[in-house]
Amino acid sequence: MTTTEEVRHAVLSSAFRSLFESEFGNVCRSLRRLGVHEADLADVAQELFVAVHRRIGELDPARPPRPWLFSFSLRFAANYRRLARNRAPHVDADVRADPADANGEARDLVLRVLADLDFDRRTVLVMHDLEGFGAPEIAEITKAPLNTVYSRLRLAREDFREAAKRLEGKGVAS
Amino acid sequence: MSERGVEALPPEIAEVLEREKLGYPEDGELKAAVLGKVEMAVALGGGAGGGGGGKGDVSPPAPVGAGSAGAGGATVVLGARAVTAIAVGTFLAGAVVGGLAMRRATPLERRPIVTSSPSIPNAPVEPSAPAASSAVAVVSAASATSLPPVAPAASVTGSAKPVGDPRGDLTREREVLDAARASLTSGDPAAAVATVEGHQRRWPNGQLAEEREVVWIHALRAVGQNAEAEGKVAAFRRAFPRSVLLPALDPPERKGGVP
Repeated sequence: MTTTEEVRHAVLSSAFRSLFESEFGNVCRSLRRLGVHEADLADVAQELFVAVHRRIGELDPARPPRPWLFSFSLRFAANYRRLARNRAPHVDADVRADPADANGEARDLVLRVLADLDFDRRTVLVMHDLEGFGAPEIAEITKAPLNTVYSRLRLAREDFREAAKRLEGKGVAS
Repeated sequence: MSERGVEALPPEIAEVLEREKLGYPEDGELKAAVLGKVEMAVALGGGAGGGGGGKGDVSPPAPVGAGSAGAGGATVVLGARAVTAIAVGTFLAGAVVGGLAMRRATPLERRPIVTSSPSIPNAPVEPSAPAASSAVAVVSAASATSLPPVAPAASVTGSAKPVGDPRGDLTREREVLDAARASLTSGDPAAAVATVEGHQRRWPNGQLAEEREVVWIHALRAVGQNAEAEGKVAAFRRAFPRSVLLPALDPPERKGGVP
């Protein structure tokens, strides 16, 4: 390894640090929505940001970084879910929100409902209704046809409503 | 929204989704822990291999030209030994900070933090080489070697600290290891050995024991006590078989050919 490479590997670049500082929270939130359990979040986020560091030179400074970063979140979440133990449709018991925390309760409810959805539909719902991506952008990131994106979104919302009703029936959502 | 027949969300669902967006408060400890681990992985030579392989559903956007961003261009003028000092410092700081924060943030029974450590390439650093000159403050080993004696019984479990003040001891452990690292990088490995011995006496099973052993091994190699160092390496492998720090323990000669 050359001296230059040693330096580059030893010292995180300012570009990376800046990106990490501003986007770490968003990345973690995306990973949670895509099914990464709270207990595994640090592991997955670490590996994700190491990969981001390796490819930081590919980030176009003229474009917002979130779509680029979300593609990492999507890939790592998908890989994470390939392990059967990570597909358990539950929200970690240790992250139940304080009953006085309305936002935390909403988060728990949404994560529970999302856990019941098919991953592709879930991805589109998360990207569109929670992350704020437009359908063409989702199509580009997921490499799915635009019509497929619309179809998945429509179905995901139906699934979401039904799952929410089921959970409400069990008293989880209240 | 009204795109292509997609209905607008019912108000009650929309409200829940809006509230959900506010349900993720910033977790400073997690952030610091992850950054420390990333620094360590980078210092070790590029990290954990992409988090699970290339069969992901999507790939990051295509390159947009321009070489990789990094500190390399601006810092090429640094001498090789200074570079080594930086690399060692970064790696060990990452180990200490990451270890510290992860122990705070996660239950003890959790699996090791990095599951793909076998794919981490050998460390690109040469920890045993002393720096010719260093901006790192040299902290006297006396501060560690003159630590108060260990309480005989309590120290066995590394809990010679007052109950309810775990962070205080963590901070002190880190300070001692920082001192050892400073000694090592400033060319005084004997002082580093003395410092980690002090750490071991005070916190034999401390929360940063894993990081201590790594510093210790590098320091022993630097003073030429290779047999003892290798004995410690073997013990480390037994005690921490899945440690992310294992690649950093490869003998210096094995690191020379790292691609």
